[in-house]
Amino acid sequence: MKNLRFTYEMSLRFDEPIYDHYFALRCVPVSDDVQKIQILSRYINPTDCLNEVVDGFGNHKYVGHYFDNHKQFEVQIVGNAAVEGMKVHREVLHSMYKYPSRFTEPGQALKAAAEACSKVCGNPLERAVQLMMYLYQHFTYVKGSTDISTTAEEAMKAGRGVCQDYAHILIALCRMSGIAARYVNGFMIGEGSTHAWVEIYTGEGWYGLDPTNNLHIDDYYIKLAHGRDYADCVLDKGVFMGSPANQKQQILVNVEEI
Amino acid sequence: MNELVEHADSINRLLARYGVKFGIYKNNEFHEQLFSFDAIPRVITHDDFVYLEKGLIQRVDALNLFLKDIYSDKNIIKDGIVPEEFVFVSSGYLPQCEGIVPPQGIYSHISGIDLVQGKDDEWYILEDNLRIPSGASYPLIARKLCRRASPQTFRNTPICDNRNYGQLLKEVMDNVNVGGIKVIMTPGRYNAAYFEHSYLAEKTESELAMNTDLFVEKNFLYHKDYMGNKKKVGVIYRRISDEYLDPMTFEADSLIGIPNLMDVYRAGNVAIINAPGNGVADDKGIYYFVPKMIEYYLHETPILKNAPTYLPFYEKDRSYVLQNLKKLVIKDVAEAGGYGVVFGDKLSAEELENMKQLIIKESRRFIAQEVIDFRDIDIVDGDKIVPRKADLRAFVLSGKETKVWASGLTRFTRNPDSFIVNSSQGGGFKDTWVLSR
Repeated sequence: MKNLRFTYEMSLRFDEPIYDHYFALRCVPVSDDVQKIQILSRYINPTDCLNEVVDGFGNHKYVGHYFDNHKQFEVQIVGNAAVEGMKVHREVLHSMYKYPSRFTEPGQALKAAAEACSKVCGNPLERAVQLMMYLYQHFTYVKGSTDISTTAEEAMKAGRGVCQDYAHILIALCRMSGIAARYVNGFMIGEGSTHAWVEIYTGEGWYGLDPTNNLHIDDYYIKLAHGRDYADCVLDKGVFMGSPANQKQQILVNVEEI
Repeated sequence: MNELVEHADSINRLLARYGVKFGIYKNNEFHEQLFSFDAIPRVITHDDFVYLEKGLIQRVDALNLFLKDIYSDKNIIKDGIVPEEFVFVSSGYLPQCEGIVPPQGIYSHISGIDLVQGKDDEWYILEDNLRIPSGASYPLIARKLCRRASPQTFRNTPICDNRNYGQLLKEVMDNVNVGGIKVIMTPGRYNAAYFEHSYLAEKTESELAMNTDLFVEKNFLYHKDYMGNKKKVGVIYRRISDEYLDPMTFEADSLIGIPNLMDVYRAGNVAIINAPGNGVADDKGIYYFVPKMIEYYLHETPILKNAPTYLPFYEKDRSYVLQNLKKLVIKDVAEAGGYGVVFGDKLSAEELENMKQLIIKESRRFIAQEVIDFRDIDIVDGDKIVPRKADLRAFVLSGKETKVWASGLTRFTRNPDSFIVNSSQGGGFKDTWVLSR
């Protein structure tokens, strides 16, 4: 087990005032079988109102709004996490994680990859680890080569991408070979931004794998939210009125052992 | 009735002036056209209506129980009645609605059930529409004009008055109102169904509003009128589809939605008519299972029949479908509207073989149905009266009790060879008379 201190900072800056701003945030971790979370400070500003709700996937979400003119919006979350990774988070399986979703719908490239992996064997976890290994060997990490709208099929075809693409492809490959899998957002030690990985269903519960680094999710990861794919668990969402020519979002993540 | 036929032209002119149009979205484009009115009504006998009423109430009650089950315990899946494949791959299934219990547990408040009557006089269900089905105002306004054109017809014939639709809808809205004003939400005055929205708002004593008049504050929904007065909304009958409802939960680029509305709804602070996520129950694949739902939830024998349908997913059905493909209609479950519908008898030998291979390979993707030889109804074509295919959309309203509106929308095709009753193919509509004795 490891004790971690995490800081998440997100700031939005506009050159012209915005108003009627609504937001939904999934950037505050919560406790489960794997991680025990203690929030030390939670700063979300400006807000008229802030509610903590649970979405249809079981993620905690902070929703609220600010109606008056403002040119910046800031979030800072600081907390401690006691993490015991490489452990199954027990839960009854929701079958939606067995079937393709918008970002993980297989096409030619993914079907070919699944074909190449048809010899994987063992229990679901062992098979998923072999699929992860295949992906790690046949896919290249290239920053900026894809964007948030890239599907697993498109990324597989291109042969390169970022953590979101690794996660989507592994999910697609797992589901094609009969393993339920879901997309996870979170923090990882040594990574200055948010990270994405995969949880697979072992038969008893969920177990994390990080395909970008070909690693099991150990004590150095803190989970935020999950869903069928990226679209279900976006960390920061917002809509507002106004017409700023420029908007700048900055995200800073820091995780260190304490 | 002859009097009505004589007045048909003037009624159609009035309908055009009232802006009674039909609008459809196809490939993300909006098309609107006049929906032509045929003066010969469809007549449903009193006995037929009593039978239909029972069957429709039973069906809609079961569909509501199915929706409640799917978004909570999923017992019908656990008990092996409906395979999970048909539920979770449906684009109408919205996991964002998991765990939400709508006010009074009602999901489909207004259901539009499409039926046809076969040559054997038997009624068959073609389709369930549980996602804000439209069309109720066409027969309403047509009846109003017919009544004006020929008052004696309605004095001398025992026809159920259909002017109670607004009252029925009002009861449905009041029943789920969690405290606040009633709102009918329209995408706007340029929407082809705007006339229907404003008409129903008046009849139900609701505010007619666009998304710009509505906003979420501190987890409640409010309406702001042109004077700037703010009122809490207790029930919203929204005439926009699920994916545009809340840009924070569904399509992020929706400009006609209300941000964070789904959180207000989840908290039980507003009722939404119809509930989001209903698409999972009116999916082509799920249709097959509706009679099974009736048995499962109500422990009753289904009164109304489905068109005979086969699921190649089941081996027994698959072998029947493969052997009889030529006389069947094949529908792609994933495709919406009239897309992905193939008539076996229109396929060449090669296409037939390809279809068979596809069905074997992707058996879950298709349903197959017998072609129903449905009864023709007379329409006026120039100066002749000719028989044409027609269907009936019955409106079922679920409030404290489930009720069937004693009217409905009868749509017909002008094309003598067509089995597809669709207003976009030059069809029209008729008034539907339900006889009171």
